[in-house]
Amino acid sequence: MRFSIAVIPLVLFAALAGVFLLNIDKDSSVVPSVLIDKPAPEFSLPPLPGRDKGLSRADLTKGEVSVLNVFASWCIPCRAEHPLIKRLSHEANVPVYGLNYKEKDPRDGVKWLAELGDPYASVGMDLSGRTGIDFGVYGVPETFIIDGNGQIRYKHVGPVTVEVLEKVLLPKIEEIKG
Amino acid sequence: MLAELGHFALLLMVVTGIGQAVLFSPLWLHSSLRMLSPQGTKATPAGTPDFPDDETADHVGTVAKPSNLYLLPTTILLLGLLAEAALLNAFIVSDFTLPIVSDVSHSSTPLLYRIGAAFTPDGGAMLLWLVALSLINLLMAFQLHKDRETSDDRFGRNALSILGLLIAILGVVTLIDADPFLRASVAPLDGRGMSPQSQDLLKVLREPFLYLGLAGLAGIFALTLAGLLEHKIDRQFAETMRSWTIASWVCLGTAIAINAYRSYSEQAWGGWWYWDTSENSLLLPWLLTTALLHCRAVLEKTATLRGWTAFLGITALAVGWFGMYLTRSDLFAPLPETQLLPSDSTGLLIGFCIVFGLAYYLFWRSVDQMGDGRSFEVISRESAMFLNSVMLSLIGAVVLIGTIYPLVLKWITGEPITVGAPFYVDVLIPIVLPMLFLMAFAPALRWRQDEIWMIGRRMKLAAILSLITVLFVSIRFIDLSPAPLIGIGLAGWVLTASLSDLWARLWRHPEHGESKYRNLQLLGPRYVSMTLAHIGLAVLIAGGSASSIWEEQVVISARAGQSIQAGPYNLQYEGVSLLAGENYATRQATFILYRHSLPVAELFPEIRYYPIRGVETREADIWHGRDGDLHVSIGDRDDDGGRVVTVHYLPMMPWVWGGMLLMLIGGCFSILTRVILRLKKFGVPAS
Repeated sequence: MRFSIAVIPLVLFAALAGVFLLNIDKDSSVVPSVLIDKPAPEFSLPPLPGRDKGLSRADLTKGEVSVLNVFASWCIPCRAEHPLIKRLSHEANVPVYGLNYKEKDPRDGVKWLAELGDPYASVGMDLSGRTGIDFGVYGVPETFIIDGNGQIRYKHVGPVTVEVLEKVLLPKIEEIKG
Repeated sequence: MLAELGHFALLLMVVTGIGQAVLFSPLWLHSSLRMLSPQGTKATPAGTPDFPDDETADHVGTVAKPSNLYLLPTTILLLGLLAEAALLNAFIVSDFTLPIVSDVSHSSTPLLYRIGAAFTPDGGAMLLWLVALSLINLLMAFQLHKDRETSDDRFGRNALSILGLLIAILGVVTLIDADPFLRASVAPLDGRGMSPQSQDLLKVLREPFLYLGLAGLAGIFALTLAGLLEHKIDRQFAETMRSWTIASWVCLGTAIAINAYRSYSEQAWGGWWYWDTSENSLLLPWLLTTALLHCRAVLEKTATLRGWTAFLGITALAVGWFGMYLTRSDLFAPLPETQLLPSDSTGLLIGFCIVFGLAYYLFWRSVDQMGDGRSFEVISRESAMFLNSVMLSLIGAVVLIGTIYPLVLKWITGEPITVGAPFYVDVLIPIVLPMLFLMAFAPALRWRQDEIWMIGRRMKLAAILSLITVLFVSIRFIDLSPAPLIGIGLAGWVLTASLSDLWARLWRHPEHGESKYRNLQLLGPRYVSMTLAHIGLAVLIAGGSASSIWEEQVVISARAGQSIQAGPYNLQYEGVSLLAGENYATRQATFILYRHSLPVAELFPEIRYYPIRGVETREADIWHGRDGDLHVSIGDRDDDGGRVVTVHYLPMMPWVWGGMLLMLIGGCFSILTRVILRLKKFGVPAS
């Protein structure tokens, strides 16, 4: 076939489209939080009323992988994800810590756990929301995976679903365990 | 419930779009099959119908009736409006069961911004584009019906069929990538809040213009492909394209102007163009539409530049679509990590590849057979306009390369780089300056052929005046860098050339018996709008160059009562007070502005804090004086208890806005006169 100048747009277009199509998955849409691979912030939280063990950074640096779940009794999605947090603590075989975020009444968290069951190794009560801010908590619920040195390795925003649990969180924990 | 209705309407839109694509043109399938098969291409001379009268012909017969012609486009538009209304309703009543609402809205957001928020997330933006597209679809059915009633209207049906296909493809992309009507399994109590940057009246206004402009480009694209399929890239084709090019040009231009003014009033550093991805992806289609505007005029007048016009007609939408993909994807700006509604732009990219792969293939195959019509002389108006449109496309190419280069480099080497203003300025100046130089000639040149000495005679006044401008400015400000000076000189050149051409036309000796308004009538709406737009560009360039030369910036730490000198102005800082807005708290500073020790205004720059997102924004306050803008913004408190105040004095900045406005007025004038003509011609029911 005779070469024609009119083929140039097609060639240029094909080159451009090819480059972008080949790289379609390179930049994944999951954007790491600024805290990823950074040490978890320093904090020390009081226990829930009537319990004796609170939560502090020392709990996260005991040399084993742990999960930190931010929840609140006023948060409806937390209620929805709660059974899966129980499943997580059961199946992953790692301690799951709770951060009870900005309760109006300190006893609300206790009632909530009494009603739905308590999967947490221990719970810290963040009434002011200060620790939440240090962790970059944006909306409740959020779930962090933290390695044995206290480094934040993964952060999930929003309620944990069955899919997230099975396809993301559990494999991630296994991967970090190494 | 309403959201489900909207969802269903969106689905039906896809179905009717496919229906329109198939029903309007079985011929379309035939022609493309003919195009795609190598043996068949030579067999048919351009535009002759050679199809056997099989059952497809019956279809065409039924669809060609006017009542049927409007049926599908009207249905699609109504469905689109229904879907949009459902989405708007969800935002207005804050229905947080829709993740699209809870991602970007909040119950405390004022109503106007909640409505604006419906256009910002991917799904909402795509839906708005679809609605604009279905509006264009109906308008085009109307135009093609009126224009081509008598001639054979296979061209028109092909165009409508392509538009139907585009609607269907974009509808599918919307449903796959970011379906706006998905419900959340668990609804949050309240939304995550709207980004404060989006809580802005101008931003809300920008979106409809942007998507109408893009939809207009889709109309141009459909006409171009139909023209290619029928081998009818001719003068009548150019005439049909005219309103669409100007309308898209005005809409995109308005979106760009709004965008520029927003950057100017939101940021502390007094600039109005940052070359970031979203701005570039607006600028690109506008540049190509400008190029198209010019060579379309050549095509209409002289039936030359057919291939080039067709190329621009396709490419204008291509870069618009690609820009949409770049801004909607996570390639440049990471998507907010907290988004509940999963959104993806892969569909947009794949749709882009399919649509334009086919389009450029058709372009190649049919331009080969079409030839480029008659040729023209080197010194003629068409060659000047052709050169200008080539330069505009070159500018477009530079902007495109500047936009995607960092991305491609990152993919290849993994190294992140940024391409900023210095790159664009260095590369664009050698293209823009000759373009401005040439631009002044075109109106004074004759079509087909002209003589150099004749041009010299017509342009001498302009040449002398602009030389005087340059000399005056360069003697007065000898130590300045040359580029802005040349900019001012060339702006003066374009301005004086446009004005002297207008002058010459107005003072033509009326022939015997002509009324004295004859000269004014002879100018014609096209000439007037072109001159307005050219003068507007000259004013814009002069203003931009001048404000970049004589800009003064003062950054100081101010205490209450302190006075700050900038240009001819004196600002007195009165202090900061805490106020509450509708959904934000604000620290508002008060400044009293003096000019020659007379108070002229009070200025209130702010720092706003939006508690929902926990974000601070800065709002500058601007005084638009006769000779320049005064731009004030405040920053944080420093250690000594003073407040950081940034003051910019930008002389001739009103010229920039005035120039943009003049260009847009030029475009609107052209549309208005055309609409009036059309109403007269087809006779709106007189009674």
